[in-house]
Amino acid sequence: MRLKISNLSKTYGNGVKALNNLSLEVGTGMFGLLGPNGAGKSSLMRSIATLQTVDEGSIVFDDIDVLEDPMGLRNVLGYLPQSFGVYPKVSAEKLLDYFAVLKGLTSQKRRKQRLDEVLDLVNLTEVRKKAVSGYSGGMKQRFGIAQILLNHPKLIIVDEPTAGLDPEERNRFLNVLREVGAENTVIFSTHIVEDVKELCTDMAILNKGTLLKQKKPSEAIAELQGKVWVTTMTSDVFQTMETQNILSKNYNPDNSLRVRVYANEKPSVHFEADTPNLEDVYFVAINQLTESKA
Amino acid sequence: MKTILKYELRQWLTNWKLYIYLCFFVGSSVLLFAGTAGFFDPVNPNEKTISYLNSAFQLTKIWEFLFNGILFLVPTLVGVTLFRDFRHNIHSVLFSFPISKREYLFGKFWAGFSALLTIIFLIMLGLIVASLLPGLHPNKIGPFRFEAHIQPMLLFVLPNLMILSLITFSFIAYSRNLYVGLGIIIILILISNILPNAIDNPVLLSLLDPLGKNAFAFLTKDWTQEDKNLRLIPFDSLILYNRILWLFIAGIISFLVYQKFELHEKKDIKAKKRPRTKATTPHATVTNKRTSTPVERANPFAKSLLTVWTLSRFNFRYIIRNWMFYTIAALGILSVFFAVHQVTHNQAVAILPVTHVVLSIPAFFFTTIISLLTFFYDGFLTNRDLVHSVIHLVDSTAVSNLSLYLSKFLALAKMQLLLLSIMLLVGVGIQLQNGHTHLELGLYLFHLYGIQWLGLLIWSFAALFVHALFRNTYVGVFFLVGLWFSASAFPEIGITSRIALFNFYEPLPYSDFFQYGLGLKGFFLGKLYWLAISMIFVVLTLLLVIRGVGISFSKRVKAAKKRFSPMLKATGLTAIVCTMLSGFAIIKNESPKDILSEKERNLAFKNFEQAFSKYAVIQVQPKIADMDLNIALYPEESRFQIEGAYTIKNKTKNPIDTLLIKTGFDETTTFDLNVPYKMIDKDEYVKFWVIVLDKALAPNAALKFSFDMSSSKVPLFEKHQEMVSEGSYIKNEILPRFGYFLSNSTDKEAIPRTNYYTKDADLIDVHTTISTTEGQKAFAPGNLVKTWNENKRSYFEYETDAPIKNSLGFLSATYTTHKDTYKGVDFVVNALEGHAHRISEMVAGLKASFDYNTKYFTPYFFNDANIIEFPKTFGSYASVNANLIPTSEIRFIANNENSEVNISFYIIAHELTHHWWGYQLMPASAPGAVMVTESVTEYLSLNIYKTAFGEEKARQFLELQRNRYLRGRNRDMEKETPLKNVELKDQYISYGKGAMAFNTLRHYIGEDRLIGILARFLKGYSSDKEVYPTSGQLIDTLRIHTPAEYKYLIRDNFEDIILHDINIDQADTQQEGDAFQTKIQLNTRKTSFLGESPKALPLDDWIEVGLYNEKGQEIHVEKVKVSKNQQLIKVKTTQKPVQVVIDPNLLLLEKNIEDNTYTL
Repeated sequence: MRLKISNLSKTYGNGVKALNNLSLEVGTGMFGLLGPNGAGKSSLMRSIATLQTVDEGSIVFDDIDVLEDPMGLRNVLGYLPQSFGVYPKVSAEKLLDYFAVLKGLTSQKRRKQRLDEVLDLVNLTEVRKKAVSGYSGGMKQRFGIAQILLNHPKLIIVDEPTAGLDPEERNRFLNVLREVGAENTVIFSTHIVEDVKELCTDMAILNKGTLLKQKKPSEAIAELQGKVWVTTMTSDVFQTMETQNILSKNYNPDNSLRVRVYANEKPSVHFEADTPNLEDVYFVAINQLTESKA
Repeated sequence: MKTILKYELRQWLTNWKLYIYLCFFVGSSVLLFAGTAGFFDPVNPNEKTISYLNSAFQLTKIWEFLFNGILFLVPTLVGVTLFRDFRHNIHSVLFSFPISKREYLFGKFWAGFSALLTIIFLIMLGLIVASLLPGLHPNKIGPFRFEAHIQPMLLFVLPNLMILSLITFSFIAYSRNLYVGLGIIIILILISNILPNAIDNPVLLSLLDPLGKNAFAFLTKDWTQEDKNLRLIPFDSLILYNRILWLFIAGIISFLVYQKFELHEKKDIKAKKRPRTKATTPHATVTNKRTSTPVERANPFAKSLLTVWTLSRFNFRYIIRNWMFYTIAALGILSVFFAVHQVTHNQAVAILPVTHVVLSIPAFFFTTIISLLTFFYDGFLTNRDLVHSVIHLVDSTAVSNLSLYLSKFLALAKMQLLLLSIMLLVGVGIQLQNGHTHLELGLYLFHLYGIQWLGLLIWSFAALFVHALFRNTYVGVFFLVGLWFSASAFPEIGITSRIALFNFYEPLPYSDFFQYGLGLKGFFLGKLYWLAISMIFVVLTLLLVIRGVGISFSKRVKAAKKRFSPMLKATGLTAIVCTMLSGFAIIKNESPKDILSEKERNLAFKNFEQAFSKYAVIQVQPKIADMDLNIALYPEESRFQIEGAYTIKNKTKNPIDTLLIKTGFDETTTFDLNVPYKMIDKDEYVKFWVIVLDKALAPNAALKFSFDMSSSKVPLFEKHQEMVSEGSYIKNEILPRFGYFLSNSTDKEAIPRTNYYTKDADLIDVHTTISTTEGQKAFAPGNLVKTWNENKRSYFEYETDAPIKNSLGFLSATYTTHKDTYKGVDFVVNALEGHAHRISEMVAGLKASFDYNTKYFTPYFFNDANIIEFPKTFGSYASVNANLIPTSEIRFIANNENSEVNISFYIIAHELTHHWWGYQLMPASAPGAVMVTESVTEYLSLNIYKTAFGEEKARQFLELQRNRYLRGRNRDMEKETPLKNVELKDQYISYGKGAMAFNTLRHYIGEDRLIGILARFLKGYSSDKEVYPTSGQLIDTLRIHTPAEYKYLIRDNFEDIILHDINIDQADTQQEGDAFQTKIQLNTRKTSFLGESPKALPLDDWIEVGLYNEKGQEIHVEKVKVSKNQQLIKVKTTQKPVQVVIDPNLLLLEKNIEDNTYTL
């Protein structure tokens, strides 16, 4: 394991328990962090990225004790926060140059070379001389990745990176991440379950600062095999149903409801077995569902 | 709008910062007022001047001073209210609400402005309360008048606030950039500094000054002390026009910005005409290249250095690459240029643009601007990441806190260097432009990059610490500005030790004799102390700097403990030790145990007066008949030793048994007599000794008095008082003197047979042996009889061949000598190398004065006249000691081509004239003594000047004297004395009025007659007779020999204080035959200020009327008798007159002569 988080706890000044005795182990590859808003994903990421202090626990990456030696981690870290600003009227090229110096690329020649590589990687070469403050949302995110990659990071942390991107941009972004993640550790948080399914070699589900589940996606889905049932009904009937164990409900074009439930056995004749998907895993974990008979 | 207004007001009311500002401003105003009014000092009974601090005049000046700080409040309150929305990006949501532009802008503006007004009104209340406090000196506080407090508010403070707030608010609204507000402030400060130096026309200047300061100064420039105490500020049109003009300008700016402002998320910028390339790229794929450069493994230390340097370049570019910096730099250049120009041109007495003059004048102001810029820009740099939300990205990178710190420090240092270099270039440019090629680049470099920059670096460290601590640019700037003020404010409230005055700057004494040599030790000690403290700041900054988010102060402290590496600990410890050592050294040098503080000194003198004033009745003392002095100067050690012997004689008819002896205050003197005596009283602090001779000294008997004197060390921080250095100048005031020295004889009856200069001597013979380091030349009064070298020292022996006045000076330096023998007398000028500019003019002055005085009075007694240059740290005067004329360095670098008067010529001519009027004739020790010497001499100098330079120039000279008198009148805080009783300190009367008075008399009774009176007077009271005349006797002599119809002039000018007020009501001219008859309706008033209140006098005066043609040439001048307040004058001329001028030859004293001219 490369990143080992042990018993991490943090409580904010207003009493909110952001991280609750969290322990996690992450290896090489893409690691997805799922959870609703307020689950503690951003707190966790900021803590790993040395931007925030914790009350208890430890974080170790390779041989680096992050809490004791934050500078050691920063040397191999690439971090993209959920939202970030840029200096007004500064071009992408100039701003990347500045960040490169901050990240330790002191030789001007090597810096220029890396800049070119990185801009090429995220396809911003043609607009490198334009001010970043004028970029569209997708371009800004790509710039965000560009700055991550400047110092060949071994640990990459991206916080809700695909929020606000159009499908094409999202696709592109994930591809870049996939490439980068091949030999490094990439942790990215999201609540778009699809992203995790496509990309991640491992994942964890968080809620209220607590780790609910850590399992490889395929394994987590396999666990639910034979326990997911689907049926169609009208909304009136739906009202009378017991709401426990409902995984999800969706509207059909004719306004009938397609309901998925979680149960050990077929709840009733109306139900059919269905292949579980990652969303089901998510709902089961979040709602702490237990198997029951319908 | 009401909602926005109410919301913003509530935001302010719950903002702790507002209360900090409130306490700071109201507190310091009250302290300032109370302190100046003497709340912290005991009442000084000798201080008789009445100056009401709570008068309208003084309150206006107090507000002017406070406004320097209030300036910074404007963007802080008014600007921040508006900017908050942009800063936190709320505007992108807010602007989609149904609010109008008008509601939004007005609401924001009035909220900020109301907060500002609240503080201002509380300051006003504070001042009112302070003026009613008990314990204030009664001569500083007048009766309470609410109008006096309200007037400055209505006329200046409130309009200024409105003007500034509108302009600042508009700029911030337009640019959506908060820092513009601070930039506006600096630009305003620069403009206020440039205007008075660049514009001569006072009306134009008054209008263009946005704060109305110059209008106020102009309107009150003629106010006497009484006016200042009692009058209210007139609602003059000039002030009103200025206020209206600037409110109008502010209104226009606001209106324009209001029109352009849109409630849009982004500022609407007009599209550029270039074809725009799309900023989005077409569908592209991610390249799969696996090229990657390995992470560098260079030497980490070198890497860090390179990082710091590269980052500092980014920061530096951020600072200078914007319009604000360019504007400020450009205005800075202008301010330096105009300030220097003002001193080197267009003056009565201008100075050559020598390097130290160019450096000294703008240096303080410009360095203050650079300090301010350091405060601002460090705030911008520190908070930039936070403001632009880049902080997450930056703080997670691998750059260390130390690197970030150093990169900011370096960027600031580069900015400071850049601005200092600009000043150097401007200074050199000015010098070259004036044809002055002696640039002294070494001096520039040392002063700018050594002296000034050291202070700026300390400010950098302080700014970095304060901004890291507070994280809010405005609060940080306030704190730093307050710190800056504290260095000058603390002494006012009693904190005088330099260890408490942050980064104090005392201008180093400078002279071309020793450059900065004297004060450097003290300067560097002070800077060492503050640098050591700065190192503590560095350690604290690195410990407390925020890295990451959500960090409270307690977390900072926790993180600090973690960061406290051995390196930081060592640095901190070293810094603390250095601070203590240097602080201790400062304290030790500030009040060595034998030199008391000022309060204690005053107390010691008060005690002395109480205990010793009983000796004042002993008026009669023996007089010094001759002196033998042996003076040893040690310039490298800054010390001297004097051994001396006097022969003292009883010149009275009664025996004398009690001697009152005063020895030098700063020196250690032992003395002895050749007869037995007892010391019955002494004050060792004041150095006053009372001895009684065992056997009384009989009339005509003599004694030998011998003494041994050594100098004491001048305190490290008062080196400008150093007497012995590369340019030594010792005066005989420090030699032992006889008599009770504190009595002010000028307010008592004349002591018989005692001259004004030296009560303890008449004329004396002096023999001096003076030695100094080899290579220097030492001077003493008398003839040089012998000179030799011995033991690496040079010796000079001087002997007077005729008895001289006991006013001695001893000088020594390395001089270059210029000799000119004229009519058997050697005229020698001893000047510093490179100060040869004015020598020929000085010699011309000697010759002209010599010719004039020997022609009309008596021969010159000595074989030579030696002009000797002394360092300007002693003063800007010249004086005469027998055949020596010590002259200040300043007169050697006068810029006579650009002055109204050739000061070098004039001052030498004046001093040489004192050989007759001041030595051949010495006045009695009585009130008005200086009328006999200075007034007469000044008048004679005027004549000498006229002979040398012509009527026109002489008239300019006379005008200067007139202005000198009128200006001095206004500044005089005590009751004015008539010329007959003029005091030494009132030079505006003795020189200014004296010259006018004699000149007027001459005009009517004739030059020959007046000179004849003076010549007879001089010979009659020649000093060898030991009969000294009073001013009264001179006046009587003048009166006796003045024809009856002009005798009134003597009373008016010499015994009374008369001001005329004349204006021409109406005048016209008509041709009658081949002549022109001009009728002038004249209004004349004659007022006497001799009594308690001004008194109108009846007229029976001669007044001159001049008529001029269209070319400005004088057609006709005649004197008319004016005996009525309204009188019709008729003058006949052959040419057609175009202009009438009353009193064209400046024979009368009038405040306003503009209304004496009438164009027909």
